[in-house]
Amino acid sequence: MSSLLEFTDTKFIKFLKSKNKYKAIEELADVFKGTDVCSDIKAFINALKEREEIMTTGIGFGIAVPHAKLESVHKIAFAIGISKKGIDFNSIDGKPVHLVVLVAAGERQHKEYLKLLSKIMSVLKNDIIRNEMIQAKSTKDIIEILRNAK
Amino acid sequence: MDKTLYILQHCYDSIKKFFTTRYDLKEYILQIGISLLIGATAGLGAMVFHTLIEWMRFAINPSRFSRYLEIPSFVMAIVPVIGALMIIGLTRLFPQQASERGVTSVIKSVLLQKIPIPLFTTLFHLLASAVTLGTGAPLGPEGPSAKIGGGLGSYISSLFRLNIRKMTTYTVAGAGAAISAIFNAPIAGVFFGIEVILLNDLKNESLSALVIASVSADMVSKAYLGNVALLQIPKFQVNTHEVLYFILLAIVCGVVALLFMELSHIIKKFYKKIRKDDTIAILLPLSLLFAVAVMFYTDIYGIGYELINKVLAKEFSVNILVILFVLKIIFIALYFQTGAYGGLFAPSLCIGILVGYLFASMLSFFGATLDPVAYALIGMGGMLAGLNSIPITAILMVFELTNDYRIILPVMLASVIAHLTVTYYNKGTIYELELLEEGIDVRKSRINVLESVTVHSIARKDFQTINAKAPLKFAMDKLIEAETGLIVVDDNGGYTGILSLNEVRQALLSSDVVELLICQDIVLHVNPCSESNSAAEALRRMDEYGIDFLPVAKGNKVTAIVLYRDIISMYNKIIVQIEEKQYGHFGL
Repeated sequence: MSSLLEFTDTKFIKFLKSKNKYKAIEELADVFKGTDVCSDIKAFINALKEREEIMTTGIGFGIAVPHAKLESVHKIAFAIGISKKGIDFNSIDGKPVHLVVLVAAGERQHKEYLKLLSKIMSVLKNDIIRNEMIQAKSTKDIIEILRNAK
Repeated sequence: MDKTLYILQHCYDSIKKFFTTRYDLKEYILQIGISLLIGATAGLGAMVFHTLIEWMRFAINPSRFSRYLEIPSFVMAIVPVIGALMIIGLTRLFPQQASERGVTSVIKSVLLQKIPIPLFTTLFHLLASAVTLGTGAPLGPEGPSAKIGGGLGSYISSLFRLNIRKMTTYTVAGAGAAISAIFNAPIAGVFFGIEVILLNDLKNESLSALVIASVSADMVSKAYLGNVALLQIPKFQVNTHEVLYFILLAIVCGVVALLFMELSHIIKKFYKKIRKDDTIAILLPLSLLFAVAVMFYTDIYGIGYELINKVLAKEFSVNILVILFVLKIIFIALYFQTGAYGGLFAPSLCIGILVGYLFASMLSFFGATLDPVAYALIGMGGMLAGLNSIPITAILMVFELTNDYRIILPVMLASVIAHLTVTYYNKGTIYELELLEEGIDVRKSRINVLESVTVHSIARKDFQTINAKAPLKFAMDKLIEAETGLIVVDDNGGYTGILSLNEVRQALLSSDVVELLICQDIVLHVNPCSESNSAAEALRRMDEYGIDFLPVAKGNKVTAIVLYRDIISMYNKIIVQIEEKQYGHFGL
């Protein structure tokens, strides 16, 4: 698997204002608007929300990984949202989420999708990296953290 | 005396030694002998068939009755209805024998080596086809002839206890031989075998047997019928400078052939909609309709040879010819699609004659002076080639029917162009497309044996399902137990996709990913197959998705699954069976 930086961009990193998880998903998914990642943002947001309703993607430790595979996603990518105040994601440990990693993949990008999720999870499992990301002041800082992450 | 005996004994020993040491020669001589025998038998079969049709045709011909017995023609127009009742009765009485009809069934028997064809099946087709054609159905005798000849070839081979490879050879030879005999055209018979039954495989080992059997069959046919020509061709004039008109007529023939095929297709769909698999029942109302048409236009009755002779003798006006052309085309398509016992070879001769004659007559309105008889004959070749995808047979058939070299060049042009027009549009011949509808794709270089295996025969009913909303960690245990994979369903049990071990392997790399996912996240939306699909089609879909099992669905519910390894195992089984049949169990 190549570096995580190949799947994101400074444009895809956002400091979130929303406190509600669905609003936060909408706010973060909007970063793909006008890019070559997804041609139907509305459908993408709906898919993310429907998925979230079935089972939370808040996996604890202040992290949530909403994700969806969709026909209108043409390029596999992920966006990062940072919430200093925290968002209630109904996480499995009950704690608020400070780091939202939103993954978008095409309908047939099955293997790449799982590989990317796996890579993201292995990076976020590292307490130091995770805390550095949550404490980051700018998008450039986040990119730098990901560049150094192994 | 002793010396004579000694010489005779010595000669016998020498001959015996020669034949016992030269096995290859023995085999060749035997092949020639069997081919001659099969040709003669197929020729005889074709003559019996021909006699039966002719007898019925003359005995109960509506126009003949009305002429000699002073019975109004509308009363005798009921003959096709009586014929339809008899055909429906025969089909109901012997459904198994009736299930495989026409030229396509012979091609299938040869390709899939469903041989030997039982003698009773052959006799059934002889009788059923004679009733169909003898009671006026507007179809041709070539499909049934091929069936009868092929059946006799296969039966004689089984009497000699030949292996399946040789049985196939003689089935082809018998089919071609019967065509030679029925049309009194040996060369066309050989090429019919090559173009239609061998699907243009000139390297096929059946070729020599086909040639010998056709010659033998034609000798029988000539001995029985004499040198009486099937058609009475009046004098005609061919002008080679009319080449542009020849090309134009060829294209017209190709377009008419395509229109006929389209009409047939629409009728087939309509029949299937109203009677599903029992289309033969439609024959009764159809024959009533036909009877009404026959009351007004008696010439549409029967195979069409009389109509051809009348057209060539210029007995009709253009207006009547247009009506006859329309009625012929409609009723041929209507009859053919019911599954009535008859072919399209002779009907295409008839349509071709009408098209060619009308073409020349109509152009004469615009000042062109074309001989309608010559153009009718060219049209006959073009239509024969276009509709049946047999350009070489068409050229030779027209030549053998006319015995006139002058017609060869324009017929060559018309046949090839009409054939190309049809195959360019249809991407296959009429027989290839018919077989394709049954799941047998012969357009590739080699027939895939799995095309004849249905998913139904290898599907497994034991499969496990999981709800799309279930967490992936719950699916893991089920997946390990399920051997291959799981069928993912929605809350109503409707099919969503599949989950296979292969697909989730990547997810297993990280236990955190397993915690994050539900089945819906990694479901593979695979297009399921139906029970009637072929195993080859199922295999193609599995290859497309890179999976080792495929759901079998009815509507949106999964009823079974089919496994990759079951298909491969079936394939190996069939190959072994074919090899055993070809080389294992039978001698010679």
